[in-house]
Amino acid sequence: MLIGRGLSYRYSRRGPWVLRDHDVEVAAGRVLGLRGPSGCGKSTLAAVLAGLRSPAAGTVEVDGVPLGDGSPGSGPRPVQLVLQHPERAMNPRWKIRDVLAEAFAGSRDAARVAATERVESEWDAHHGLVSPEWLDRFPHEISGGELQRVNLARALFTSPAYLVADEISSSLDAITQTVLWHRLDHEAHERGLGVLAVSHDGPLLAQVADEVIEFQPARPRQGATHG
Amino acid sequence: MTTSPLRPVNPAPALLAVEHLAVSFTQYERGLRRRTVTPVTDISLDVRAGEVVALVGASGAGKSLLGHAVLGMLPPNATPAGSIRWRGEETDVQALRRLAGREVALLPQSLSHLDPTASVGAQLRRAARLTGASRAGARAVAREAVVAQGLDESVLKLYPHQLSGGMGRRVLTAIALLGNPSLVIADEPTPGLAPESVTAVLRRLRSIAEGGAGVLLITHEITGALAVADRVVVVDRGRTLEESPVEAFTADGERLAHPYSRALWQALPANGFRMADDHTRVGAGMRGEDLAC
Repeated sequence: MLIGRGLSYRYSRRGPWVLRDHDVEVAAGRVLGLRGPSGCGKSTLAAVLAGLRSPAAGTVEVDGVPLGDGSPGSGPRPVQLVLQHPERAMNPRWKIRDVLAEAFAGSRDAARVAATERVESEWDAHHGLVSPEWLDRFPHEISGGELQRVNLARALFTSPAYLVADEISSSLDAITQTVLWHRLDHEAHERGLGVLAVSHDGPLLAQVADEVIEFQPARPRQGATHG
Repeated sequence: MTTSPLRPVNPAPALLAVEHLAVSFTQYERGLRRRTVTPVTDISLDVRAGEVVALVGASGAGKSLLGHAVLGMLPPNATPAGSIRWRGEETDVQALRRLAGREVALLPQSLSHLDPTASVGAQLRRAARLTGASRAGARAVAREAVVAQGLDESVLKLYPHQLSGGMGRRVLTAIALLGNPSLVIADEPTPGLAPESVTAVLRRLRSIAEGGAGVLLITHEITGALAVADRVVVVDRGRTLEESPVEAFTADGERLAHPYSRALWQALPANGFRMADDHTRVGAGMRGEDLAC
């Protein structure tokens, strides 16, 4: 289980609480949908659960172990985060091969080989997310939908136990959307990945999630209550 | 004069008729080696007064480039080919630039198209003067424009960063409509908006068309497009695949001509969320279907 307990967060010391005593539990092998309007704080919760932001109060545990700070040398994070805009998540001067190689440890050359092998074997075996043809292109040379497939593949290449997908398909066409979510469905239900699917799109979550919860915004000026 | 059953129903030429548009770019790679890429190879469509035409396709399909070509806004290293006719007359880049901002208006994608250092009022007044209003007249025009979009006059004093997504979209609409354009090109006007704001934006586009202008809605969101459009033009990888009336998008999509349009329709969460049966297939079935791998 990926468990967040009593999570509180605000962006400045005197700013309003975006998260106030929030609890969330993501089970392995399941897709949990988190729904709410834009600007309500779901992305903040996603970033805290992925270890990208440290909560002011509360804890995040991954299968019983407190989530580390992701400092260099501690290996790939057990919780991977995929966001809406793939072009902002990769170095525009790197080829796709190097973008993917970032997921593998070791020397740069070894990582490039590992990334290439992974792309080729997955494509052959069951049509992966990334086409081998894209490996020698730069991010701006493939479409936004293709770039998001690369972005998701890179997260999956680290073999995370949990994956937080924050609006990953909301600026993409319907076909790319099904490709991404069918893959996550497979990773969850066949391989045991725990997925938190964050979206404002109710019909989408109804399709992809085993269970959907509604984001409860932090109540202003009130004491902490669980719920 | 005899009336023939073969006479066209609407003999007036379309406002905008794009035929076999292609756009290529010349790029330099590794020093002086040049290469040409052609992201748009063959797009055709027309827009008549009083209708909303949706241009639907994936990102990178060339939708926005078509919009930019019509506005004469392509970058200098781009070479357009094919024909763009305005009210039946052939145009060139100079003619298109003269139309842009007056006869043809762009409703851009995001608030980043506003000047972050100027107030909404200042930007509206400047836009009003560009369409020919006097200095004194511009003030009144700016006020009327925001009120017509259902905003309070106090918005004029705000700066772009103080606007919510929905308010920003209304301000962009107000600016686009200042010159009473005959054609409005709306480039992805809905992503990132809450569902209520999406509905409001689409309803506004519909009312622009009902006011007599033509609207070209460029979007990847087919559901929204179907809610307001009269016709849908589907593009993929720089080519027009088909043009269908909105009614063809129904049931299993069997009235759609092209497999890509059918795949796009069937992939919607509300229509079964099915995967296209081609190279994009990743293998796993959803919701209890068998795994194909």
